[in-house]
Amino acid sequence: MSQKKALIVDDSTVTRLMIRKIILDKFPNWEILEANSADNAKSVLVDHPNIDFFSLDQNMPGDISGLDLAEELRNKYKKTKIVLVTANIQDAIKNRALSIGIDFVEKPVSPEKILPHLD
Amino acid sequence: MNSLSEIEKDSLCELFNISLGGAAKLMGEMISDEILLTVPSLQLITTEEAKNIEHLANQDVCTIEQKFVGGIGEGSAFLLFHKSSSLEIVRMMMKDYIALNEVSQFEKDALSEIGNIILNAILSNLAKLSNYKIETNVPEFFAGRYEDLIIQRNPQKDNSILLVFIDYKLKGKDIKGYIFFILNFDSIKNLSRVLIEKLKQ
Repeated sequence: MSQKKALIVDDSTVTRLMIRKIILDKFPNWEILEANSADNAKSVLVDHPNIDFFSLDQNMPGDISGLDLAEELRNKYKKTKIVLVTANIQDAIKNRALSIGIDFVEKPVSPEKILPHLD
Repeated sequence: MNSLSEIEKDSLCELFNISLGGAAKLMGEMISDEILLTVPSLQLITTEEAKNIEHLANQDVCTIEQKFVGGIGEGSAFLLFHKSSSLEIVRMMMKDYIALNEVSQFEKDALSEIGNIILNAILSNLAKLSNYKIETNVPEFFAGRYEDLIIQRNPQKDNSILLVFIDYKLKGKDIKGYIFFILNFDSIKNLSRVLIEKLKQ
């Protein structure tokens, strides 16, 4: 069985660090990949196309939001778990996320909020 | 000088008070400690007066500024820490994730993330309560003299700004900080008008 992979996309180093640790504490064999923007995430995916879990920050520098990226990813990764992580869950964001079949997690992140999406 | 009536002040104080709603709880979650908040004190003052606020004048501070725009107008919300407290706050936030000797490397990023979470929670509540849409940008970090932070502000054409100060304190620790908002006078009046209308309903 191949090693599972998670891609954490967030411009905050500390949030990436926290999500990385939360996942590895529970699933020490997972490979954790990181990106600090949507564009950077796309570059990572060129070398690592098989991802089992995406954690996407909503507000990042650049023109592509987490939700925009989620929509692109959902078209390609039909069954992969995608979670939108945001400090501000507005109804419009929530509704769009639900309509494209992704979950959301409100910051601050914690094991209780992240892990149920990996099980 | 622009001024607000008592009912305008009361409605705005109540709005900001309620908007703090879950913010203290969120911050408590992040640093694993209880946060004590004061009732907001609302002042309509000039930039010059803002520079001389007690406990902040001549102080080194770290702030996270969340600019916002929407029906409410344009403004900024700030989370402010005294420089002397900032590393302790980062240490409390990151203690389960990094070694103690690494804390200083994460100061800017960790404080920015705390600010992002707290200020967005407050602004989100503010939007719900006022029925205004509010859009926010990526938060900006500032470290330096408090006066320099205020001097950087572009004074509005009427040279008045609203400071809504909320003190917070970590229970059992000598760490204090402030949350404050800067809005121009037209936005302030507009916001209070909407609130008063809602109270009449």
